[in-house]
Parts: sequence; structure tokens; C-alpha cells
Amino acid sequence: MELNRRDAAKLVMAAGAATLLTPNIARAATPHLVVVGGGPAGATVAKYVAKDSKGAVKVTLVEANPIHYTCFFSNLYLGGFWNFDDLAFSYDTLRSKYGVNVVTAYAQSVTGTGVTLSDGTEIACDRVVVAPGIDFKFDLYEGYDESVAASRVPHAYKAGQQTMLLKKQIHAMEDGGTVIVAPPPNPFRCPPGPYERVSMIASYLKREKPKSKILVLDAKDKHSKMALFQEGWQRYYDGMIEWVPAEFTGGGIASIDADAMTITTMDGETFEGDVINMIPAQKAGMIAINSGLTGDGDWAPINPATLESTLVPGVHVLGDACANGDMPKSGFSANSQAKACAMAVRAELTGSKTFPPRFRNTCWSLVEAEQGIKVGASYQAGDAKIEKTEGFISQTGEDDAMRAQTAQEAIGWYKAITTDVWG
Amino acid sequence: MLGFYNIFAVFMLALSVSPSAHAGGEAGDATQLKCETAALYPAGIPWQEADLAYGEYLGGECLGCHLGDGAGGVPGINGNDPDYFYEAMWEYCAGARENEAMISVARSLDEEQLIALAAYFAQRETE
Repeated sequence: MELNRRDAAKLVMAAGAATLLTPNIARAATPHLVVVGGGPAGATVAKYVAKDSKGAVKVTLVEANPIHYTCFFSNLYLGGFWNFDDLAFSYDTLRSKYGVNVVTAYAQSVTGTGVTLSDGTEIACDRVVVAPGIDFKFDLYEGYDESVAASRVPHAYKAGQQTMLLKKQIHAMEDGGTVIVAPPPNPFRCPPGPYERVSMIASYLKREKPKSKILVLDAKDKHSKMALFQEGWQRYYDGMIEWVPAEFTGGGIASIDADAMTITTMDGETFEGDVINMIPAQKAGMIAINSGLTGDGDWAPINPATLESTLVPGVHVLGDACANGDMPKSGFSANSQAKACAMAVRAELTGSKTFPPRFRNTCWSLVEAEQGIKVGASYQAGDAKIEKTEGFISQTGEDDAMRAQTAQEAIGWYKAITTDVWG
Repeated sequence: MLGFYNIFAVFMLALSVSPSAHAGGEAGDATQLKCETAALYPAGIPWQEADLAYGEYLGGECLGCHLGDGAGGVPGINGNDPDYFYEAMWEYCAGARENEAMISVARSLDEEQLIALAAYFAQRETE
């Protein structure tokens, strides 16, 4: 058979169509990871999978907010040492440098094969990572809910409007006023966080309103870096801070009256504050609960080596929301878990090589400007949980030079981890 | 490297007679240290055998604290001479450098990992 010009043209068109089709087929075959939550856990896993897979995995990050404000170091803002914008990070670099498809939307629920957004949109995928952080157990406290927190008695335990509200309230308070801080029961995000917050508020008050007091109504009898904070409080803010342990609160807070600005402990004692910072008991972020990832508990159980849910196959849960064994709930832990998870996800989707997972955490805190303390540990994936292998902590009685060095280390860490997560 | 082996000998002696000052470590038990086998490399550390992919994975842990060029009180990690990097980590491991976080990191590494890390960061140029 002899081809005429018209037949030849058809063949060329067919070949062209085949060529055009090829990339579509390839795209369809590219495995797709959807990450829910753009905090230290979610943004890190999105970045590392995108970076290390070099295009072999399509990565979508679903995050409700266009800008992330870090909870860690937000106490420095409260103390007057940092601006709020110093805590802000966008997703621009994840998009432009690493090719992550960042979708600004609220994710409602997940399965191992897809994510449903609040507007009903469904995103199909081959694997899901959920890193929603924490939510609060408002129902444990009479007179306290999200609207009271947003308007009058902030928890300020997710950096944002409430952090600014708390600072505004402290600044508006007259000298000689009382700030009440109510730290939550274990487990909760950033174990030293409430106590660093007390230190930073005290630092501001000492400078600007030295007759003021801070009353700490705790749900616990001991807390992270306790000896170090107490040493610092005595040294720098002697007489300003009164810490009331669970033994005398009856285990924490029972109710709040925002109109009267009073807070009542489980022992039935009522205190009046000019500013009340109520940090409620915590649980995994809503989407983890909505998706059946937490079972009957507050936190999502996981396989320690891969961070994959033990309840919903194909879904990994990272950061504050997971039952993280011996690790504290911290931005550092979240970032560390994300790297182990990224390796596991990439191996699952592309068959890439794996190495034994490693986990680490260090929490720096400031007790006063340029006075840093730290606690940290190494962890490994045990059979049942992420387990601690070795730890360290700053010592009481360290000299000012050591504390200043630790504070500088904290600043360096902040710049590095935020670059590792979002930059 | 001559200086390194002199230091190494001193540290091994120190470890044999005095417990480590490290708060969370297994004090005084030199067999627990994984970074004590530098003497295995009398002809120099075999950098050509380093697994850079392994170093890149392990290095993710370092990048939680270190920028390539450093910031604040945390030194940069890119572009160090690998022998220097190895030696510094071994010194942390032996407790001869004072930083509890770095001592903890160093004691969690084995030889293969330390060599992979030193080789990886020696050639890393950007974030």
C-alpha cells in the first residue's frame, strides 16, 4: 500500500497524539502524597519528600492559613524581645524551590487514599500525612470556650490573634496588677512553654510594671526544667511569681468567669486576675479525631518507625497529634519525626532505600533576656513506642556566660529549624 | 592528622581513668562510645568509601539546628574539612568538647554514620 499525503498526515497526527499522551500517562503514574497541616511536622515532610524524590512523588500540602506563625519563640514576643512578624513564615519557598503544590484550604477528614476539604472537594492520593497539631478540651472547664478564649481569656497556645491579645492585655494592665497563668495537665504541647512564658511576662513586668504579680495555677506538681525555672525566677524576679502546684489547686482549673475575670481551681478556690492566660488540656487536632486516627484516646497511635497510623493504613500522623512515646510534643520533635516519616513514605511510594530512623529533640527556653536553658534527648523506634535512649539538661548554678551561650544557641537553632521547615 | 592521634591517645587515657561528665551518658564506660575507633584508620579516614546518600539522610538531623553558614550561637555545617568534622565529633563523643546537645549527637553515631556525615557536609554548598 502506498501512503498518500493525507494518510501520512494522519500518521503524523497520531504519532503526535501519542507523544502528547505520554506525559499524561507518566503523570498519572506519579504517586501522590497529600500532607495536611503546614506546621513544623507537615511542612518538613512535604519539603523532604519533594526534595529527595526529585519529582518521583507529587506532593500536595493542604494548609488553612497562608502564613504560619511559630508557637515556639512566641514567648519572646510576649516578653517584648521579638516582633510578631519575626515568627511568620510563608509557603513560597516550598512552592518555588521544592515544587510542593500548596493548597490554602481547610481539610475535614482523611482516609488512606484521599483527603476531603471543608468545601467537599476530594483530593485522591496514594498516601496521606496528617499533622494538625493540637486542639483544646474546652468541655473540661465551665465558662470557657473558643469564643471566650478569643475575646477575653486567651490560651495563646497556637501563635496568632490570641498571642497578640494576651500581650495587649498585659501592656494595658496597670502596675501592681495580677497576671494568672494556668498551665495544662500532661501531655501537652511544648512542656517548658508555660514556664518560659511566665519568665518572659515577668521580664516585661520587671522592666515596665515592677509592682505586678504573676500567679501560676498549675494542673501538675512538677514540670519541665522545674529546678532551672525556679532558680531563674528567684534570681531575676524574686517575689513576683507564685507557683501553685496541683497539690494546692486540686489538679488544675475547674471554671472561669470571664465577666468577673476570676478563675476557680478544682479545690474550689477562686482567684481574680487582671489578665488570665488559661492553657487548657489538649488533644490531637480535630481532623485526626474526625478521621478515626485517635481511636478512643486523645492522640493518634502510630508505628514508631514510620509514623504510620496503627488504626488507618496509609495515613501517617506526625507532631503534636501523634502518641509520640517518650518524645515531648515540640516543634523540634515534629521536625525530627517528619524526616523519618518522609523516608518511609518515599520508600513506600518509590521503593527508595531506607535507613534506620533516628529521632531527636532539644527544647531551649529563656528565663530572662540572654539567659538560656535547654533539655534534650536521643530516641529510637522501639517495638511499641518511640523510646528515649539518652538525655541531657542544663544544670542549676551555671554561670551567666554559659546561659548567654545557650541563649545564643537558641537563636541559632530557631533560624536553622525554620529554614529546614519552610525555607 | 598527627595532632589528632596525639589528642586521641590522651582522650583514650582519660576515658580509661575518669568517668564522663556527661549528664545523661553512661558515665565512664568507654565501650559504650561508638566514636572511639579512629585508630582503625592509620592511613587516613577512607573518605572515598563514604555513603553520601546515607550522609544526606543523617544530615537531616543536623539541619534541625545548623544552617550551612551558621546563625546565632550555632556554627555553620557546610564545607568543613571532613577530617576536622570527624575530629570535632569524636571530641564531643569523648567529652572533650563542652556542649551537651552535641555530646548527645556524637554518642548516638557509629563510625560509618560519622564518616558519611563528614563527607556529606564537606561537599554541601547550599541549604
